[in-house]
Amino acid sequence: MQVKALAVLLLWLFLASALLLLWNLPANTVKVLVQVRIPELVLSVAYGGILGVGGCVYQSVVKNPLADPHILGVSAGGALGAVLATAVGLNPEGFALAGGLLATWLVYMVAKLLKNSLKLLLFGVALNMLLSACIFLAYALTPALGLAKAMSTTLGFIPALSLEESTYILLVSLSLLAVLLKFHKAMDSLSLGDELSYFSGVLFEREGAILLALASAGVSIAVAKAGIIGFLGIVVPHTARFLGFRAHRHLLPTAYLGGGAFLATSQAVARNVAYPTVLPAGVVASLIGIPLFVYILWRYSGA
Amino acid sequence: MLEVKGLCYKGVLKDIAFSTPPGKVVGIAGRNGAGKTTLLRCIGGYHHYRGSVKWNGKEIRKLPLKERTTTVNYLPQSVDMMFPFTVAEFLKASVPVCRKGIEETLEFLRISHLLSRRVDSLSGGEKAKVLLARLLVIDPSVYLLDEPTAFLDLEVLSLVAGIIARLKEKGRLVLLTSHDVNFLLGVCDLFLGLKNSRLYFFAGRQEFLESLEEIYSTEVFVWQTEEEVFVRPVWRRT
Repeated sequence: MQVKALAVLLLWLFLASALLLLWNLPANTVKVLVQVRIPELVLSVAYGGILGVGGCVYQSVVKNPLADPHILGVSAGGALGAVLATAVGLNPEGFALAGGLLATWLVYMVAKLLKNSLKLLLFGVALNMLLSACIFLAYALTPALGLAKAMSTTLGFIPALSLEESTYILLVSLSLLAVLLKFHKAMDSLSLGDELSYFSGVLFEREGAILLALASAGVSIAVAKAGIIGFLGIVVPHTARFLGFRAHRHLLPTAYLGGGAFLATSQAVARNVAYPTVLPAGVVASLIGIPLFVYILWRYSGA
Repeated sequence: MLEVKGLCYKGVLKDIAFSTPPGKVVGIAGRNGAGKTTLLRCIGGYHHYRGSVKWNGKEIRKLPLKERTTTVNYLPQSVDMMFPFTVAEFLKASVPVCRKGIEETLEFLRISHLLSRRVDSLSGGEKAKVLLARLLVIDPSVYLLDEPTAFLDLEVLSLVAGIIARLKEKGRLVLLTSHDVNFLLGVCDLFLGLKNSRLYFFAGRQEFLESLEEIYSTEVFVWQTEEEVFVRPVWRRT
């Protein structure tokens, strides 16, 4: 089952890549491939992978199937940081990192205070709303930035970066995956609840905090490049669990692959469905992701 | 030697003090909400209490993590998993240090065949056995058992009683909470009564029997021979 599922995932990633690279390919093939499509593919896979493993981290640490960096406002924190940096002409990545980690710190403190993942989720939703409102406020008050840019920041838009830049994001995502894999047992323990994880020698205040910070840092860096993309963080880990990958040693790589394949597919559709207009990948991801999300809600409600 | 001194926690526990050598089974009794589970968790260091809880002179919650998990460990009342693990995955995730063989422990509890089953598909008794297996594999010096008898059938109940007796022989200290007074009387040497957040008494069987009515605030019928004792509340028609 698991081997088959992995083979299917790899095949899917391959097909999505082919689709993204070759669908509606114009005449000056090599230039378009090297300057636009390959960087887009690399960034899509990297960002999707970060969202997949980020969702795994948040769900296991927060112990809630609906937790992910987007729902809890971390992506919005990163985006707000990037927007503010752009408005004053500073490095958006550093500010995105700061914004994302600040939001994570808030979420972490509230989690410690409330000791209730449902209430934490409500807080996160509120934080997300607030930060998203701040993003639009920043755009409204800064004429130089323009509303089109606001759309791509909040809806998720995979830009054609340089090959170096997109490769850098890919390396960030792969190192995130590698570091998280070192923590796979801690994530397993944390998902069992505070009591059992404490008596298994894993602390929310220590391993949990480190894991949240790592995942949030990865997401923030990606958000600085491509804006906020939601839903993958929730949908991808659950889908991997349905396929039989439960322990994080197996779940993390699967979620990375699944997230990458999913976002590459979304970008392929986003690029070509209204060709030559390129849609925001986040919008397409949500259009595909929301039906999946509803299915997960239905499944977890015990119906 | 377990020494608890001036233990307070958020008004749930007030100024609890007692000490006990290893090789004993201590039963913690009290009404619902008396603080039995909280006391166990404080001893394990899970709650941020005031006061001190020492094992062989060392504050338990300040021990290095690995040492702490093998010094004191805990049997929760239930396991409520957000994400479904199989028994094997659950044990892998929740056992920090294996001091006893997993296979022989599962064999002993007669649950070897459940290894690849998902924990959420198990019956209550099977889940209880899996949690017990986890604790026995870690084999800490101090066992904290929270309601180890709740919702168990007679077979598992006698298994648990047998395990507690064996742990005592091996010189482990066992602290357990239970609403089943007869079970406590059957397996414990010492009895700790909690009432109104305070330690009401810490003594042997006879004193426990004598203060039962005060702890539970109800009239109790005690049937006692030289070997056996049986307790039940006096039933009245209201």
